[in-house]
Amino acid sequence: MRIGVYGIGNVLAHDDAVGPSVVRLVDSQWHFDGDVVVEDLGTPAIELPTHLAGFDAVVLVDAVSATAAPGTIRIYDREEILKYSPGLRVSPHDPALRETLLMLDLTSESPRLVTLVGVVPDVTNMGIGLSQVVTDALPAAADAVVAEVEKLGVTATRRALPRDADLWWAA
Amino acid sequence: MSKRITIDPITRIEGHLRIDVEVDNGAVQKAWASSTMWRGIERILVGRDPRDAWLFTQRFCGVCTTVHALTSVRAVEDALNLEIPLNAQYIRNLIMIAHALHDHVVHFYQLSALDWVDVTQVLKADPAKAASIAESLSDWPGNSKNEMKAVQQKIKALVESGQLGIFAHGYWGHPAMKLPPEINLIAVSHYLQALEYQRYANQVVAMLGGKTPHIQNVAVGGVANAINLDSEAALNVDRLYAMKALLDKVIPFVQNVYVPDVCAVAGLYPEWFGYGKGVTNYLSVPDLPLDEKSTKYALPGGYIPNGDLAKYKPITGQKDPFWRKGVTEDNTHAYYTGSGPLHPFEGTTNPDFTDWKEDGKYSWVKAPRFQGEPAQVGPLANVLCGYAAGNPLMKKWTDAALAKISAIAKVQATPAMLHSTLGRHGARAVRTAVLSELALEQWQLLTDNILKGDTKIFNPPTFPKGTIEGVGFHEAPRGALSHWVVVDNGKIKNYQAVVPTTWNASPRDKDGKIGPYEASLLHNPVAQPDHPLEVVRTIHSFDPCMACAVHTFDAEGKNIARVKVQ
Repeated sequence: MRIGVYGIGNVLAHDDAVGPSVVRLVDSQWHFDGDVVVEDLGTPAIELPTHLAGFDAVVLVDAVSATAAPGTIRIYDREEILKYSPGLRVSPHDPALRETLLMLDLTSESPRLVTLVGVVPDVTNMGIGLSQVVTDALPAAADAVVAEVEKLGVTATRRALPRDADLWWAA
Repeated sequence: MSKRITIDPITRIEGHLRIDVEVDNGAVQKAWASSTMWRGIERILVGRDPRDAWLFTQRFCGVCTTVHALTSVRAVEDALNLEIPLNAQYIRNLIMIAHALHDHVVHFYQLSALDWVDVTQVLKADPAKAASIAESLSDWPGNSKNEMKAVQQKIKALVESGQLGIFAHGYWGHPAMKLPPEINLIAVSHYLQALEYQRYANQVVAMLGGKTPHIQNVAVGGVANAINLDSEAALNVDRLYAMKALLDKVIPFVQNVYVPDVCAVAGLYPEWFGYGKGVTNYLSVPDLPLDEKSTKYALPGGYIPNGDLAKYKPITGQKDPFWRKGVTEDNTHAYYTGSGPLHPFEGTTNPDFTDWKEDGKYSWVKAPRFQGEPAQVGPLANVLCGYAAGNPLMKKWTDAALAKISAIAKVQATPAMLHSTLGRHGARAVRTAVLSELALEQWQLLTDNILKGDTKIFNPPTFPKGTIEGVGFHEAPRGALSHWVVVDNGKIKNYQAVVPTTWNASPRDKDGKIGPYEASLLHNPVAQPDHPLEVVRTIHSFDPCMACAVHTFDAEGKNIARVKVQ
């Protein structure tokens, strides 16, 4: 089973950096057995199909707009992404997700299992640095991502020596 | 009675582009292009290490990532007068070409073809007839009757399920849709094939750039691709040939599918050569440098005033004063302090939001000017400059496309017709075909140079005390892109990006001169003000980098329709 674990978001738009931050944290602390790619995709837009086509399952992390307090974590499945996608739009990049899935349906290359771990942002204008509430939500969001990957039958092991998460933009 | 339309999300990506048009007698009488989002990336860069700027600039837009990385390192290298090793030039050139091949193919099929192609008409097509038409246009193997039948079945199943999926929001059945059912079927089958072939181009970028969408291999002074013919981990012969295998898949798709499809659409909508002319001052920059000093380029660039190809003046490089002193930005109608015009080295980006004011400030986009005039950028500017410069590849593919269009339209297509909505689509296809040939040329240059034993990839930068200034340019998929950097004692003091969509979506300037989008919409037909497909066609032909929406207003400014445009 080919699995992609992707962080999506603009690291220069405050809390929109939550997706890239979470996957970098996950990658620095966890090792997954099997065919699992963990990547900060930033703002992939029209390049997203390349990263989804042919995968069996993907777990995405992104900022989502929801009627909930900033820092809240919400998990959406494929059906919900297709149904509610417009409401998920908080930043420039995300319309691509729904459309990419629909486009790949046409060529039968769409991942069967799609999970979006969404974090409700506080601030999304241009600028660097996560808000305090979203910073506080990072460990829980990373745990949620690991749990979603484990649900796919993958064994996750904590790295004995954690790697540097390399959040270079915030340095 | 005149009606006004505002178009607020034309592409599905990045921010908001807003188009307001006043419609009377079925045509646009007045137009305003604006952006509703402030980016302010320039301010994020002040005080940082110029060697890191490219990492940030390629994150600042959701569409154009790679191009901002490459342009940023060029700007800093220009400030340092730093030479770039040949391998690094060729590797960057290949990344730029592969990125453009991907971008242009996606733009036509996934982002704009459905402005012209009615998916629902596919069901009425005769697959055998479609196959024979397609086979008359090119010898692409994916045009068989069985292929056409399979695509038709797929669309039929989609329509019968009541879930049109990706095709749910189209202008189906709009009176401006005029293609025969068979051409719609051919186009939809190629829409599906494009999803596959664009990825091969993207894989070339990933192979050289380390990953996409944000490449990791560039550096001020060169690239970070270790070259070692004896190492599995480095750029070696196996990798070079793996890359060539990918290019060998993309190139025939461009030449035998994309180019003929654009010619067919153009030939069947010949009236659209009469719309969308707009600003005919064309600006492009030379690209694909061939030497370490960046003085020779594989593709020419320059300036054409008033659409007169005889008056073409080349830009010889980033140091050329005609270019370097020629660019200014005016804030009179943009939400920034001051009015300008200011040269980018002195440029400011301090917000001064006033709300949308028809005669005042109305956009987050500044008004760039070249030699004091608005200028159109993009593939059409690139192709016309290349044609005027006598570039053999540009001439070959432009003439071939015009001949193909003439045969289909049964009228003589001339270069003068390219100043139009369809001309921009045609020029983009021509440019893609030219780049597809240059891909192999650059691949050969890189391979030969490596086999010769040259493994050099990087010249380390050193920053002097005091102030230096540099400009980096790149002929990006959406047109001339430039980054302007002022470095003081090794730290960024000022950074301005003058991006293609800023040139084209420019608001009015201090003299009231309108920008290319605004000008191109004048006299554009609009059959149904609440379904402004024709406005979308013209705006999409520029390949805007932002999502957009159209608002319709009547003479009193009353909102008729607000249309989200995909």
